[in-house]
Amino acid sequence: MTPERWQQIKALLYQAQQLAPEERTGFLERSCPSDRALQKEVETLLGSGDEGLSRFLENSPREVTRTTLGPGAKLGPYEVCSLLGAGGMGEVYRARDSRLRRDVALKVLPPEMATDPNRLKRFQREARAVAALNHPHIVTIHSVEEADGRHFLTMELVDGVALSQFLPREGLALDKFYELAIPLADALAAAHEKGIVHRDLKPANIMVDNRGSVKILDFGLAKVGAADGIDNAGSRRRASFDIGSEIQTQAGTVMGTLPYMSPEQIDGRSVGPRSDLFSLGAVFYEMAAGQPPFSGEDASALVSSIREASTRPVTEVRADVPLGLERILEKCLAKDPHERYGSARDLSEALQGLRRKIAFAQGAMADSAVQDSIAVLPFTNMSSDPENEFFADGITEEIINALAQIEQLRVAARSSAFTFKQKHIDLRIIGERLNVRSVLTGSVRRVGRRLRITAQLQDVVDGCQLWSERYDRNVEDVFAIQDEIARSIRERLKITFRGTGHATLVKPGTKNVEAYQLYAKGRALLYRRGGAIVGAVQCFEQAVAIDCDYALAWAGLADSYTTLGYYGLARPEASMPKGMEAARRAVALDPTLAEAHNALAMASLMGAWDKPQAKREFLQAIQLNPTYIQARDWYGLFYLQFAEGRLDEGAEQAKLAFVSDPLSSYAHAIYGMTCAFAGRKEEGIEVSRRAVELDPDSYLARFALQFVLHACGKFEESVSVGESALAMSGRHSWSMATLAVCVADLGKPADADAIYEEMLARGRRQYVPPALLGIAASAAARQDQALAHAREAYRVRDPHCEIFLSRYIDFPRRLYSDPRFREFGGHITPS
Amino acid sequence: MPSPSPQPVSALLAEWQAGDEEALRTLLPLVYNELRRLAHLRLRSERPGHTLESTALVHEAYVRLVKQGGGKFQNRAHFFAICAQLMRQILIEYARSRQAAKRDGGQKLTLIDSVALVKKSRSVDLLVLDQALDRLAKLDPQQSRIVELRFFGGLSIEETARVLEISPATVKRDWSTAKAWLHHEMRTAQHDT
Repeated sequence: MTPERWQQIKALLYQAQQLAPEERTGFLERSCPSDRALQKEVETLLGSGDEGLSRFLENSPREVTRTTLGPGAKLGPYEVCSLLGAGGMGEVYRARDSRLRRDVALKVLPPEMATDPNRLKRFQREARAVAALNHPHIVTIHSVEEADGRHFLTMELVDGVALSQFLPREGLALDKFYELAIPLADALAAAHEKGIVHRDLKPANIMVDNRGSVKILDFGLAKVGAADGIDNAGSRRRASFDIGSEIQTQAGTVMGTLPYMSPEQIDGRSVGPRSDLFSLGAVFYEMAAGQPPFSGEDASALVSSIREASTRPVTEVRADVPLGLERILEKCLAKDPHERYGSARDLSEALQGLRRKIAFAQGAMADSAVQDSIAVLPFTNMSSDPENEFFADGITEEIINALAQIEQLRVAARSSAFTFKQKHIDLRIIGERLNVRSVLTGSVRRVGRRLRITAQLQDVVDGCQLWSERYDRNVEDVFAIQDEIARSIRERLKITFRGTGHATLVKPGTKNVEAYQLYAKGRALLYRRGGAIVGAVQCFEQAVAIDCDYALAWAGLADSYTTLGYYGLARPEASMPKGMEAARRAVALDPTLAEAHNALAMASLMGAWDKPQAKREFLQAIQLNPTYIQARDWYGLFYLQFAEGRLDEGAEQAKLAFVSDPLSSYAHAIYGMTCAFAGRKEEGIEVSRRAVELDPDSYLARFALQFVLHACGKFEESVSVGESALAMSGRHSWSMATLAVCVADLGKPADADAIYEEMLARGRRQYVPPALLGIAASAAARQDQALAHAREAYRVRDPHCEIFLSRYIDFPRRLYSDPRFREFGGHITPS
Repeated sequence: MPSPSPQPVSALLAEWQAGDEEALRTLLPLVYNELRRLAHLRLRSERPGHTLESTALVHEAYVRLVKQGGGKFQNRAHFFAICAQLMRQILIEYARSRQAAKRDGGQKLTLIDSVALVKKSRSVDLLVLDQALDRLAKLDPQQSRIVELRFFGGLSIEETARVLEISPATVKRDWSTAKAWLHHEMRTAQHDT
């Protein structure tokens, strides 16, 4: 290339660089139509620019001095592999933990800091603060250690890149934006709720791992409780340093990074959680716009921009960013901390709300031609008798079932709709949360034989009422009324039937209102699980006593007996055969009922230990009603995972249930557990946490979290969740056994022994499942007793053998390694 | 090693600014020594693991040599422009010695451009950049100089324009196109070796 040629290329290149990528080719063709070679050379330079050129040469060069530790150096049980980075608080290495045979990140405090008691204290405080956090989107600190006179901490090793390297110049695609931003806000919320402020949030402190999940690292300035003034001392003066560089105090401690610092941080005023919200807002802005919100030719211009200038509206930088997001960013970047969000939780909710709204608007546009959607909210019981509550719930459920048969109508799942029971929430918000276009509400009043039902159908997008009706009839007419309501909705929404043969939508299953009412109550109790199962059994028994041809009630009765058995609330030899009998009856009465086949599947699996039959029946139930959550969840967890060890497929089944019922605590809990078995640990923890949030009173949710935390090696947190699960459940045996295993894994055999003793003592007064006694004994290292309990468990066909003694769970590992166990137990889970 | 007394540096700068080219010739080795001394302090000190950032170093030299000397020299940009070239030399020296140390199996120096937990940090190979800049200088000396000022000296677009007495628009154009050229050139060079 000659200098003259370069001048020619340069002129064209610069003009092309100013254009949007898609306009460049056309521009070059017009500019030099006769010189293909020139065109090609410019294109080559442009092409090379599209990857990573935006940041190329934009940072001033840095050198890191020779490192303290070279590859192969040993620090306690850790062997250094390579240097990962270095910052104000020390060097970070990749290292191998020779005991656990895993790679970790080591953060080593420089020797001159370790000898300074103040700095050492700060380092240890940082470590303790972050170790106390336990969040899937915060880099986990494993331990704080000292070896050979060096102080260091060990952290989870994240395979991935920093967000600063991940961000494309034009910003992230919007769905990717939400996918990263919401977990970041959640992570910050979790830290703030523990009193920890990050103080140096920036793209370089956020990792994007290989699966595209984000993690905040280096809560290097995080401090427990109130800020101390010393840390802020140097920051104002030092702010005259160069743009983009870390602002350092003289002690060498990084105090924040200028383009992401809040005005109060720059001014050296006290820094609280809302300062983090500003910094996170700046990071979000850059994620959306591809450039930070504040810039300046030099540091002082940047400082005054942060303190005084308003940001360029993000929608001006990038047209496809919704206005709602612009408002959220502006609120984060408010100069006055009090004008920002009150908490990171609020920010997360605002982002989630916006995402739902946009997904909904897009969905509504795409769907409007072919599909409508509806949620049926629980009908209000207007009767004085609280027993009629179940009656009202039953009517709601029947209408949901009837509408679910209508093709092209998406119906929100029952348990999602029921989370809004007796909550006075604006229908539009409910519509958004459940992602539906219309909502049906109603009321039920029953006085003697007289029944009054009202129903209203509302379009929650435009707020107008589509239909309403009042029915004053006798109580025997309840099924006719349900059918009329379903039909009216269908006509109102102008939807066609699936098939043409069905004359009625509501298939009552019984003509007897009393039986129906008992069935409705039984289902409601069974959904609550725990001790309520006993009440459910009574309801279903009475229902079938009144109408012995009522298939749904027989299915409910079967589920109740089976559940009693596998929750350890009854002796299996007493409850399981009854479950099987009731299930057979249900199937014989109505072979088209998904509920009946699912009941038979579970009775076969847990009671009869007949896996081929269980599989056939589960699949038939799912085929009959693909949205029946109970069938998906039981099939996924108990059959695919525990019986067959098909861990991924099991989790996928549970995911289908979880997706079709996004607000169900039950579906969350089961999905969380299946995730843990499938090795999706972080997802498992996150989903189980959400299960507890959705229903803090659910024992199953609490147990799921306890269990998943243990499975993921978070023993200490598992213990604390386990204790709350015990407190709310009258010390349920599932949680006792899990706690025993967990404390044993924490190296406290005496504690495990105490739990075993407690279970043993209880077993003298009441039934305690022998499989669970075996697990606890095994955890307490009482191998002979453990074997005896396990032998008893197999003899009585304790359904817990299929759960807690499954070879796909970690609990009975000591039993499995014992040849005596294989003699009698091996057949149950053949390899 | 005794550090140079700040007084003469400040005086020399004033003379140079007044148009005395001879002053610059005396000045350069002094600034160079100061930069080297500071870099050496950082890089070869008993405190391993510290980072050295080129512009931070220049800033420190500026504060030491000019501000503390109480000199009248007010033009920060011109001082930084001098330093840019010197920093380039110093960093290249270090890069060479690092490469030699690597060959000898000695202790390793690592160049990173982001302090983060990354498996492989994206970094610029200074030796390759140095050679590419030399080639660019043959095509367009002004562009090569602009890169030196912006990258090694940390000068802004405006400051670069003032130092070189050209318009900011020209700096912008030359910077943008030089980056594209260097990026392509360095990638090709790295693939070749």
